[in-house]
Amino acid sequence: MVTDQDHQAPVFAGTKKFQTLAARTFDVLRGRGMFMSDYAPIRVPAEALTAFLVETQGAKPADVAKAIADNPDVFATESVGDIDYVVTTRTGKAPVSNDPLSTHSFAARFLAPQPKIVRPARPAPERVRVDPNWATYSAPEYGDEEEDAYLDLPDDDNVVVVVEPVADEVVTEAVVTEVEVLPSEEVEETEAAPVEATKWTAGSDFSGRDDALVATAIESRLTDDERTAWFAGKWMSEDRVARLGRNDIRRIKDYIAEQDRPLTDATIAQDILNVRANSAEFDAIQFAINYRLSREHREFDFVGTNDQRFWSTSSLPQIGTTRRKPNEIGTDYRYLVDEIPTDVEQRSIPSVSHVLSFYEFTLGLLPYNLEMQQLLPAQVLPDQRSTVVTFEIPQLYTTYLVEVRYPTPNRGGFMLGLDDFYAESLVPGALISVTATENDGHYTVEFLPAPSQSARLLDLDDRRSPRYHFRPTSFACEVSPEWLISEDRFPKLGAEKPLDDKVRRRPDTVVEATFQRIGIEDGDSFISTFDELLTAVNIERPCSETLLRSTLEQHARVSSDDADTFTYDPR
Amino acid sequence: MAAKGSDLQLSEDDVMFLLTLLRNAASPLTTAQLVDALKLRTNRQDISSS
Repeated sequence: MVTDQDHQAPVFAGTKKFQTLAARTFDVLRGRGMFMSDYAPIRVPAEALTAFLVETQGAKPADVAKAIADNPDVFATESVGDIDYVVTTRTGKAPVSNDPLSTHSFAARFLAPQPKIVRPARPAPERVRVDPNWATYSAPEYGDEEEDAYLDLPDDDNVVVVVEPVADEVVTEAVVTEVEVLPSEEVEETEAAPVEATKWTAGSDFSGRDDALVATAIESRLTDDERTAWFAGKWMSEDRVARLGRNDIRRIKDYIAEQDRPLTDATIAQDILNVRANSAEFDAIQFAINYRLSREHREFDFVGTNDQRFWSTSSLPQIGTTRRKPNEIGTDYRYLVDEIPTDVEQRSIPSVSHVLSFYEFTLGLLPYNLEMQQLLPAQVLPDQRSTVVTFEIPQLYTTYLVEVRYPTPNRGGFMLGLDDFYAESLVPGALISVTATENDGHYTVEFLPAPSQSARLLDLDDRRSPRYHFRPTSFACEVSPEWLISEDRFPKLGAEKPLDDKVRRRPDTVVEATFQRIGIEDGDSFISTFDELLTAVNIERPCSETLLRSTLEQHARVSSDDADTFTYDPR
Repeated sequence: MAAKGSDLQLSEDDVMFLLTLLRNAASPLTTAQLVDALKLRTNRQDISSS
């Protein structure tokens, strides 16, 4: 608590007379503001103050005004209207205005926000352009430049003219329909050298050559050239093929494993590399996928065709049946290697009709026989072992992936993956038709619908110990009666077990067993027709008419009188 | 791929021409397109020399 407050008298400027007069003036003002706060301005009209001092102190008005003016630290003057005031404070200091600054306030910021910053316009980025040597092209005037250069040559033997071929400038349109070639010329003149004129190097003459020969020459020359990339009949410059990083490779592999089936390059490009199918570089990306993955021999297998390029990994499960190993099936079809000529023209027929045998029905497969080879495309890659094609069944609104296993020197070819289709809609002996489409990897399969009928048909029960039995079956497809294995035709088959593998591998032993299963007993002999034998032998193993006939003819204990009925005497 | 050993062989100039063609192409070219390009080039040379 302040109990005593000392006030220091202000120090006045000027002579002693004016100092005294200023002190009196200050006393008058402080008397006026006796109860005011120290810093509150004390205002007194200058006229009244002067009159009071003139009256009480006998001072002159001019002296009062001068005493006030000489002490601006103590007195301030201000005018309000027409009246002049003298102002001071109780501390003896001229008052300072307490008005808030109006230059910047919180309220003013809302009412008058800062102006938006105006950024200078960005300069347009410089567009990266390819070297004009690659990109520019001017219409050539064939012959004129060379002729002019030749005609302009001076007739001086000591001037050398060297015309060097630079690079052929070529314009390629989206589809190469026209190729322009322009030899650039550079003429140098030097003295005291022999005359030598070299025309730009001409290419080989391909006019009149067969396209296939030229294509062969291109492929044989460029295939091993590291500057080019080839895949499935298409070419790119190797340095223009997009590269896939290890991360991309791993993601592609994981995605194929996740989808649990082979995927096409288009699917990989869209789902993994996020390239849209309508983008300009889609074709190039597809090519890059195929070319780069073909280099990853250990991780990826190409299983596609030219139009439908599927990629698979070694971790994918086998397409089709697991009842029998593919190698064993290939061994069963070994006879196809001998029967089919080597110069089969692939994709030369539009469709194939086929009757299903019991063997094919049970394993969900088709033979890769002569007709199928004429229908389906050849391998895209020389070392391609299998191809995945799609079989669309319009009647069922279903499409199946079918794996074509190409023949090897020891095994025949076959096609797996139709188990479900057969089990749901067909029976052994059904007629199907496989038709090619424009896409060499896509085919339509149709079966002939028929009124529903029932019969007791042969079935293989392999839940515990494999055994044949006849099962009541309803089916609504057209069948070939010769290939239908019903209880009426072959009643003895119902108690049979599948033959042992050692017996089944050899056609002659299978024929012997078949005679005993279906033949009419005549004493110790068995008699059967060729059609019945063909149908019944195809229960155990695939067998063509050619193979069966040659087996019967070569068998020592089989005889025939009319080439249709055969007798087997096991003794 | 076609078998090697054809009597028709490409010269170095032909190879350079095809490489230039492939470098300028935005998308892959088929073998048939390369054959067409070589033949068209031959025709151009005939025109320029005549």
